[in-house]
Amino acid sequence: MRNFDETDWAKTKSLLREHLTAPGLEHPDFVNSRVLEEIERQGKPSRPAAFPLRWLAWSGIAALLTAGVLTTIVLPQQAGRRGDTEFISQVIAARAESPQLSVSEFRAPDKRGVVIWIEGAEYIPAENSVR
Amino acid sequence: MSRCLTAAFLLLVLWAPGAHPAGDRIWSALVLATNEDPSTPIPEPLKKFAPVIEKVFGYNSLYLLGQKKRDLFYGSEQWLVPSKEFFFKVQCLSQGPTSYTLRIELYHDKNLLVTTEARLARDSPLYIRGPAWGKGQLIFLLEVR
Amino acid sequence: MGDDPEEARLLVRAQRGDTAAFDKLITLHRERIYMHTFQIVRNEEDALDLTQETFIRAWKSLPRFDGTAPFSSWLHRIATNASIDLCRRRRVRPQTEIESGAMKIDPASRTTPSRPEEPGASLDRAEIRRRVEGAFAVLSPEHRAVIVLKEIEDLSYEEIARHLGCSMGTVMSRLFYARKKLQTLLRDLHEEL
Repeated sequence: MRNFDETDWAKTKSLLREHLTAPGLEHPDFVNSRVLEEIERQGKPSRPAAFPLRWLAWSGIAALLTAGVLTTIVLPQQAGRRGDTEFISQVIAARAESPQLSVSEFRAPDKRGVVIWIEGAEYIPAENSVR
Repeated sequence: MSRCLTAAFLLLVLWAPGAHPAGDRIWSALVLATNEDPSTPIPEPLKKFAPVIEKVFGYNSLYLLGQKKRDLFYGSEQWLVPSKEFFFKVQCLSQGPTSYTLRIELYHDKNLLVTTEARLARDSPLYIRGPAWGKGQLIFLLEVR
Repeated sequence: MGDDPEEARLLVRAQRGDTAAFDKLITLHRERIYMHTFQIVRNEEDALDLTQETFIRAWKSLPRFDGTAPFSSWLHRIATNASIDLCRRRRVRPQTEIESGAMKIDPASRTTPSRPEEPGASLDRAEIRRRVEGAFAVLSPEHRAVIVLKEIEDLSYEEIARHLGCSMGTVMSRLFYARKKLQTLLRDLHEEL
């Protein structure tokens, strides 16, 4: 390579090697379990398409058009009846993954948030790091 | 033919009622709540949560141990790691005009503590009561912004 | 399929659909793949996602792996491409993360949390690291990849070309550009050190 100062580059390379370090992989077993879960999820064989693509595309467009028309005509009539629930979070389901834990959920007192209350989690002594 | 299909599809997407803005993010935080020193100033990111935390959990001193924010969109599945010991896996199952349906898994180290499916609306937080630590309580916060 | 006969046996089984064998292959390679992706994207969560993504893509492509290159090289190639793809997507839709300050909290303390001690020595080193990482972040994903593969992982030009699926000439010119860029960006740092 022309016009390239090898000595200068040696210094830069040394900086890169010293400071562009990588942290260790924490929770390595999670990599395995996530990958294998995903492989299993995707492994279910897909059936060949029963309908041609063009037919599907036009059906989709027709469905969208119908939905749009209905939304424009029907929904405004319903709008008044809708409360503000769509703007407030909601817990649909919550479960504890350990037999000593119990989980319950309720709306926060300010009516804006939602709380999941876990009982039975093991106490962590002050000297243990949680960061 | 394919141009007609593309044009028709683009028109419908642009017109589609209830389209929501891109760019939402999910923010998570790990908080230590205690009653040790009520004069401790509340960290800025936690100020809006302090009244609810005091009312629900009974603590008036808050310390922010960690926070993380990531993009949120339909189909996304990612780790939120406000701390190395406690972290979330968040999978976006569906997306509405003002909220997201998420599967949220809370981990402590290698242990899965809680799995929840929740519909999180923008600026409507999820508070999770975690384990006690030292003389305080760990509280997790999740919010779509 | 490489020099390791045990790995070769696992590969044969994995190619037949044996997920337990693939599980062992993941265990053998996950650390290196994680460190490699981290070197390019410089973000722990992304590196974790990319590590998983690499093995998922590898599983899908396993029937096409013919053993002409070592399995680790093949994996590295998948990881590099996935990392570059992610960096490209981020340039279109930038993502920022917020991290809290390093507050040391003693939960039993009755006083407000204290800041880390000894700022003098650690700041210098932290400043150097910040500037090196900042200069590295200026590079495009493709240039970052060649720097990581050549200067940190010590691969040959031929191996890098195979990794990236490009010619050796392309590798050489990317390296030349990336080195010049880094030297320019870090020149001030050299003079201060």
